[in-house]
Amino acid sequence: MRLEEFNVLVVEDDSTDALMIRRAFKKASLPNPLHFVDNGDAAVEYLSRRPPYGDRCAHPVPALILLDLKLPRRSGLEVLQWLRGQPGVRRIPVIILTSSMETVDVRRAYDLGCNSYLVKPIDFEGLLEAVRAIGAYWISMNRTPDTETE
Amino acid sequence: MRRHVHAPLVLAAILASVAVVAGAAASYSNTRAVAEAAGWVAQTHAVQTELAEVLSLLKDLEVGQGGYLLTDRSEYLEPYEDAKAHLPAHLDELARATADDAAQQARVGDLRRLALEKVAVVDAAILLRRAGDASGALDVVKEGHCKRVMDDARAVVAAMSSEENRLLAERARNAHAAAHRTTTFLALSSGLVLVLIFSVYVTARWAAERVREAADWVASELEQRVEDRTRALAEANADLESFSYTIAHDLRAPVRNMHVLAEALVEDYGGELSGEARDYTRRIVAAAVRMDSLIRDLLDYARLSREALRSHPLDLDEVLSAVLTQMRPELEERRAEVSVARPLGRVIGHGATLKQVITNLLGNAAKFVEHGSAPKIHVRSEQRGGRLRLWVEDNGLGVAPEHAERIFRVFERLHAQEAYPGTGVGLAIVRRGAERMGGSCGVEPGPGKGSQFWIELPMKEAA
Repeated sequence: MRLEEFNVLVVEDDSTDALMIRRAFKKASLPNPLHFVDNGDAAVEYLSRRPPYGDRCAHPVPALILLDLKLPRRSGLEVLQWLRGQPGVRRIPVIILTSSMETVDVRRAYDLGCNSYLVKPIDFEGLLEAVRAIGAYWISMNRTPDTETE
Repeated sequence: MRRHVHAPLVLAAILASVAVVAGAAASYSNTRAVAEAAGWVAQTHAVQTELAEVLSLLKDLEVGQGGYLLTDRSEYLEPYEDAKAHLPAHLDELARATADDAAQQARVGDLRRLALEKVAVVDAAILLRRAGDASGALDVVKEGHCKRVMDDARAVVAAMSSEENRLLAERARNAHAAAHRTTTFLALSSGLVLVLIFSVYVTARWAAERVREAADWVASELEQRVEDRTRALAEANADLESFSYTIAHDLRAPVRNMHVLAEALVEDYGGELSGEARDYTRRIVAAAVRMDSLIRDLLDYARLSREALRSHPLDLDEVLSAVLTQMRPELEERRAEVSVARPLGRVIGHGATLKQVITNLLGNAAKFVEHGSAPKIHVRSEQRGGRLRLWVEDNGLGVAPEHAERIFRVFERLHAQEAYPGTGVGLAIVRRGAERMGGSCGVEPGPGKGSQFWIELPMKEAA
C-alpha cells in the first residue's frame, strides 16, 4: 500500500494534541492522510460509515487507528470494545495514545484487544520519536489486514 | 442508673449498720441481765443463809439458857454468849442483803426487835438463876414468852425466806422475759441483716446486668461506628483516588499543550521571532516543564500518604543498582561520579517507594553542586541497633543546620528556580516515604562542604 493510501484515523479530543500529531507526521515526512474525530461517538460513526461519514472518498476506512482513551461521549476503551465486535473493521490495528499510565487502563486496553499502548510524551520531541517509530513499524513494516467481511 | 443503685445501697448500708449496732446493744444488755440474775441468786442465797444463821443463833440462846438452868455451870452458857455476840452482826448483814426491798427491811426490823426481846428474856432467866433463884428462872421459861418470841421469829424468818424466794422467782421470770426479748430482737435484727445482704446481692446482680447490657450496647455501637468510619474512609480514599487520577490527566493536558506549542513556535517560526520573543517562549516551556514535574511529584506524595505500604525484605544492593541503571542518562549528563560501599545490606521496606526515595536523594546530590563542577556521590550503609542507615554523601552546596528540618517539608526550597530547578517536593517525598516504611531520614553537614543525607529503615519485620 502506498503511504498516500494508508489512511490513519486519529481519535483525539484535545485540539492541541491533534495539532501536534499532524505536525509530527509532517516533520517525520509521513504523507499518510490523517482523519481526525474528537469524540467516541464520532469514532464509532466514522467506522460504521454512518453520516456524516457516509462518503467513502472523504472518509475512507483507516488502515491504522490512533486512539486516545479520555474522550467525550464514549471513552476510548468503549470504542475499542465496540470495534472489536464489528465484523471486518475489527482487525484494524489500534494504537492507544493516551496520557494515562494507570495500570488498570493498560490492562483493560490490552484485554480489549489493542495492538500497542503509547503514553503521550510530555514534549514534542518524544511525540515526534513515537510518530517516527509508528511510521517505521506500523505503517511501513507491519502487514495490515483487509477489512472484508466475507 | 447510678442514682437508682446508689440510694438503696446507702439505705441498706445504714440499716445494716443500725441492725448490727442494735444487735450488739441487745447482746450487751442480755449479758448484763444474766450477770444481774446471777447477782440476785447470790443475794437470795446470802439472805437464806443469814436467816438460817439468825434462827440458829436464836436457838443457841435457848440452848445456852437451858443448859445453864439445868446444870448451873457457866460453861453451858457458851452458846448463849456466842449467839448474843454474833446476832447483831448477822442481823446487820441481813439488813444489808435485803436493802433493796422495803418489806423485807421491815421484817428485818421485826426480827431485830424479836431478837432483842428474846435476849432480854433469856438474860432475865439467867440472871435469876445466877442469883440462885432456880425456880424463878424456870417460871420465866414456863411463862412462855420465850417460846412465843421464838415462834414469831420463826414466822418472820419463814416469811422472809419465802418472800426472798418469791422475789427470786419474779426476778428470774423478768430476766427470762428480758432474755427472751433480747433473743427475739437479735434474731430479728440478724434476719434483717440477712435480708439486707440478700437485697444488696440482688441489687448488685441487677446492677451488674445493667452494666453488662450497657457495655454490650456500647460495644455494638462502637463496632457500628467503626464500621461506618471505615466505610467513610474507604469512600474518601476512593474519592481521593479518582481525584488524583483526574488531576493526573486533566491538569497535565493543558500543561503539555503549553509546552509543545511554545516549542513549536520557536521551531517553526523561530526565524521571525526576536531574541526576546524566543526568550519568552523558552520561559513558557520552562514553566510548563516545571508545572508538569510539580503535578507528578505531588501525585507521588499524595499516593504515599494514602496507600498502605506493604513492606518486604529488600536487598539494598539490588535496589541501588536498579536506580543507578535507571538514572544513568541523567547522571552521565551531569558527569556525576557515584561510588558505593558494597555490600549495603538488607532492610524491610517497600520496593517502589525505596527506589523513589533513593532516586530523589541521588538526583539532589547530582543537581545541587556548584555550576560547572562534577558531583561526587558516595553511598554507604551503617548498622544502628536493629536498623540500617543508608548514607548518600555528596560534595555539593551543602545544607545549613538551620535549614536541615525545613527542607523535608513540602514546597520548601533553598535556591531560586533559575539557579537550580526543582519542585520542592522531592525531599518531602523522601521523608513521607521513609516514615511510611517505618523509618526516618535526615541530613548532616559533610566533613568539608557538601551534605550527608541519610535514610534509616528497620532490618527486621515489626513483630
